[in-house]
Amino acid sequence: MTKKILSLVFSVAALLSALPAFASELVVYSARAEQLIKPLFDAYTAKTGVKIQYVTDKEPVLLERLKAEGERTPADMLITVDAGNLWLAGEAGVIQPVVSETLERNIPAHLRDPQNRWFGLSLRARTIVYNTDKVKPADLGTYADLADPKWKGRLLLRTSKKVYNQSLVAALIAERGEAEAEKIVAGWVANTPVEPFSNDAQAMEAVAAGVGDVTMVNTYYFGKLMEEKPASPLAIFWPDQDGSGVHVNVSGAGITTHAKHKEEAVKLIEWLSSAEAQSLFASLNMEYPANPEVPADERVAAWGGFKASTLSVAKYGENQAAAIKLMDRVGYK
Amino acid sequence: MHAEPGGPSSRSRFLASRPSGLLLPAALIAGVAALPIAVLLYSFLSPEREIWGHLAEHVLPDLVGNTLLLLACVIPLTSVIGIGMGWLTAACDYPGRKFFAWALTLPMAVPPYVFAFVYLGLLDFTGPVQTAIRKVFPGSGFVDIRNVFGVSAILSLAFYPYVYLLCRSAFLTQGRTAMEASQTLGLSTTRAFFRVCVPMARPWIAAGLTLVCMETLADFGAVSIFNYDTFTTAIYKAWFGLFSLNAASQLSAVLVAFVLAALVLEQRFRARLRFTGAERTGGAQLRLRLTGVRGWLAFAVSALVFALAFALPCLQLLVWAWEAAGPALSRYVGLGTNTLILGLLTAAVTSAASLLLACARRIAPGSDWLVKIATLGYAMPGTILAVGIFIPAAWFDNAMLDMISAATGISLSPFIQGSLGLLVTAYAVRFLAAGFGSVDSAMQRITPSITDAARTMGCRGTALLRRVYLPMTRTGLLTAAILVLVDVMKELPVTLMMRPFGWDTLAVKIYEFTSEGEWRLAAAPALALIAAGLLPIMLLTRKTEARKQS
Amino acid sequence: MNPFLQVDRLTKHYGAHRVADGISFQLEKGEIGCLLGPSGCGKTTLLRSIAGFENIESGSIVLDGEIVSGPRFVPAEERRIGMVFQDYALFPHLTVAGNVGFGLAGMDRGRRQAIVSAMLDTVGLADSGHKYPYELSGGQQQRVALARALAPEPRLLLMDEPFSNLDVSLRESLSREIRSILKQRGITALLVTHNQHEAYAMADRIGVVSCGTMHQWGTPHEVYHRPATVTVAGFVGEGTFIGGRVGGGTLRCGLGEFRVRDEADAAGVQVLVRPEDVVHDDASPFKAEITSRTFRGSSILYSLRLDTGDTVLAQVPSHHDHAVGERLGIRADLEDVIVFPSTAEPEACAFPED
Repeated sequence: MTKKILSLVFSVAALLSALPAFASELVVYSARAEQLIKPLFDAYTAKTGVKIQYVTDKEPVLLERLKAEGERTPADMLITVDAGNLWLAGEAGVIQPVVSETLERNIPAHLRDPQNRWFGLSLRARTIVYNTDKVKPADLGTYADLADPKWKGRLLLRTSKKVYNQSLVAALIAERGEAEAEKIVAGWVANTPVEPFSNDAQAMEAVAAGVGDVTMVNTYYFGKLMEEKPASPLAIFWPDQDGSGVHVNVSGAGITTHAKHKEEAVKLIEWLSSAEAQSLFASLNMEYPANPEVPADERVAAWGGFKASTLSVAKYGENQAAAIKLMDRVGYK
Repeated sequence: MHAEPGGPSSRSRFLASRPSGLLLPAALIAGVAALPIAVLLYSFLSPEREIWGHLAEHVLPDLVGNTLLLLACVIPLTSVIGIGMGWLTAACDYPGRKFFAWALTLPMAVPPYVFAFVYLGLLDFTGPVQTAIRKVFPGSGFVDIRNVFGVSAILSLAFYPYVYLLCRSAFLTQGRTAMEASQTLGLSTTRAFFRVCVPMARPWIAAGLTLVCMETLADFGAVSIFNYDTFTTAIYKAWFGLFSLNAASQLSAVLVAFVLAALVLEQRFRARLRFTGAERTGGAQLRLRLTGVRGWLAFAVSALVFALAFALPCLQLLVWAWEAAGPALSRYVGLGTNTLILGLLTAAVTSAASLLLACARRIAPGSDWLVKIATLGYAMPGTILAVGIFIPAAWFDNAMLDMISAATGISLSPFIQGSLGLLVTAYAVRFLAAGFGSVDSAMQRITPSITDAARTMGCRGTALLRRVYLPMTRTGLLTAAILVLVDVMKELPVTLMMRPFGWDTLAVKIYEFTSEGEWRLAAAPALALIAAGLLPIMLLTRKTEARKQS
Repeated sequence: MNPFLQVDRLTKHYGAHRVADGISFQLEKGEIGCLLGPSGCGKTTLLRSIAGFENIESGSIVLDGEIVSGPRFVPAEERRIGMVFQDYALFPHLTVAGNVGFGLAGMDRGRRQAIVSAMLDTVGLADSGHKYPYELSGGQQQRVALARALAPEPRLLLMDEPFSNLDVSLRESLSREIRSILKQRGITALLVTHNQHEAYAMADRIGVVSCGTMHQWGTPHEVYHRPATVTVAGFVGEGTFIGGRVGGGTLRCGLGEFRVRDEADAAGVQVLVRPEDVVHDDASPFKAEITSRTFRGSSILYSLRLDTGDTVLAQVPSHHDHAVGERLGIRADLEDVIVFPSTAEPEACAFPED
């Protein structure tokens, strides 16, 4: 009887244990959702025959996983959706520097790690969207302007808990110093009539419905909303054109420190920075390609050109903690 | 039937029997379940004074207040719905009762975050309801439902089935005699309900409400969608935002300590009600017939709850799924299968573990605290628990592989990390509490004299388990299995972190869409998830109902 | 003289309370014993100790020549003792047949079924094998519990207040039935009850237990007619005590003078007077006033106050109908003169039953 139980236990254990299966394949840990990376990876596999296995999860979790797995991690590459987490991954030592002329050529310096541990692969702008029935472009100017009392009760915000706003505030801190940034953010909070929304689409729809007149969103959310509801009275405005430019963030990747297939992984990331992949990468989500040689998707290009900030995105991660504390202090939920 | 004071004198009844075999497996289960707690405690070795200082000054007071307020709203709401519906469908008869009896458990198939985005979509400023109101009454302002009332209503709809299921268990086996006895004492039906039936069901109600509290405390999806900040918000802020897993772990430890205190209180409360004596004194179960206005009132209330908690959300999801164009349905079949398999595996493991722990608690009085530790996983935010299991598992795995490599020179791939077994273990640690309550309540109905009688006939150890405990706790075990099954199917953070390649679930898919704000695209997998959960829920509900009727 | 069950100076505490204090008694094979006493006096603890659910602190229990408690401890599962519980403890998930056959697990099916049928026949439930416990009445469940306990042919049968949940008429008939079944099969049994009528109906030997001590172990007749202590006298049967004195082999009390044997001279004693000892006699010089009366069908119980102030009870055939306040002539026919020191008080224990 005991023997039977023991053998059953062992066979079940064998069944439930990890079955190693990545011989000549790449393994990617991605914070970018499946529907945004699968088409890319499929294209790569079709082109080169290299299979790619991937796991999706939130960045901090992926980071902990990489740290815990240590040398035995199966991951070759880490992909994130914002610069702050790339910076953190670099600091944590789970991604390694890569020397690659291709990458240095394709990706502008301010969009990659000064120490070459990570590279931005697509760009998104966080910009102002306004209600065309209520606001004229002449009324708008900079992000800081939105703190002006004339916008009282008219500004809608997305939650401070989302990394995009954290990066925005981090950029403000980097450019203007903490004291000034705090004043601006406090002004924003004072101007908002309702609690912040949990996502950009909600904020924009509320602007369209008249709950507020103006908000700040990532460009691709605007694009998606306009595709769904073209009749919405919304339009994009590019702030700070006379100043530092529109705030941008990157979604990017890095090679893991203990990658088992480093060369293949480098090839993949180089391909991702190439013209072929860049247009696919960006158009999947209506983002801007990081590679300046590659033209933007036409839907995106229709929003017009703009001057983008050239602040190194590495600063976002550096200042993220300060940004969050700042937002807590002024009561930005 | 009389309530016997529990406590030392009753416990000593069991002292003569050898605690033996059950303590070891129980300790093992508690040990594994305690791993994440150990990781939490370990985090205190690196105090994060700055982060704590900042949080304590600017964030925590509001969050603690919000959390308590939320609990203060959710508990009464789920009690009213759960107890009320449980009693109506178990002890009364009215038009439509048979349908509602099982239909009211269906909301368990819907994750709270799905409730959240459906109702937000329906009732928010830009949703169809407010838009229509503005059309009809132009100039009316905007109503913000993203407050404690909105969130607690959502969470109550999502969590009342826990109370409902357990209460039904209680009321179905109470028997008519309790009601009749109180009526001979001059109590009207209503007063009898409140003064007799409800108090007699207290252990079950308490078990259900405990689950509701823990789910509410650990919830992150629904409250984020409503942007309602609870204590859990601080935990994620510390980790994801301020980059400190240590601070997050320390905050989680505070949360867990709070839950532990609540569990101890609940235990004291339950210990005072140990019911002995046969619950059936002959005669089949008779229902209280509600006729005329009362009958239709009961029907209306049941229909309202069912509509709000199930029919309406499903309808909205169907509409959205129809409008949106997402991946093909065939992809969802594969995901659905994964989801079901994981759920069933975990349900089996947790039922067995629950039974073991319930037996151990009965036989070895000191193992009470073992049980408490084993069920704490439910109170931890999912991501924290996932990390709390993964880190020790990876450490152990690597250490083992290092040893093997040093001894034999062979370098093996990781054995535990990324394995299905680890995922199921993490699920079990997370959801043990969900199943344990109903198994324990069923166990309490096995009077001491029944086990004594079995022992006089030479039955002990595994034979006792097999011939007495198992058959008599069968309905409790089934209820436990169903609770765990649906919880696993809806689960997200542990799945995200530890799923082996190719083991994506429907919940993962929903998350991927909602994280990008694609709520309409998330409708189809949400429906698939609900559909996948429906069949097991219906089957098991029918089974437990049939058994109790006999 | 080898008693089948021998309990020797058994002592057991619950916390600060001494639940059993040096209790000793024994049963021959085939004898039916009964522990009788008020609730909360420790008799159930005794029973559980004999069953093997609890261990004892000192003393010993020997069953069929084997030491089961004391120097060594044999757990309940291994003692081969059958037990019938106050709440019957039938397994709700098994049929009657399933319940009765529970203790016969190791047997092959045919033999088990035969034994189960035979047992059900014995207790008069031959047609109920397929039913479930909840379908049966209290008395029927009791019989199933008995059949279940007896089916594995235990060495000793224990019964814990077996009839307390049944109505009176059922109790009497069931007691007789069960005693006859036990005697037929030669089963040694021990039951525990607070109801003396059950004790009389079932037992060959009665042990009166109070506050953890056994006051007397004897036949029903002995316990009734020759109570060893005032506690026994007060608990068993009805009666009152009247005062008196003993001098030179004679007892003088409010009902006359009686010869006593083996009694030392004492200035103050109390005499037990039972209702059946008091007889209505108009010619008697002793008169008493009726203070209350209770109709009992075939007899009437009068409470009478003697001129000395003592109260006695008299049981009189009911066609002698007297009213309260009447004075009657009475005389005492004391077969056994039961005398105790006047300072003796019946025991009263203050702690709850375990």
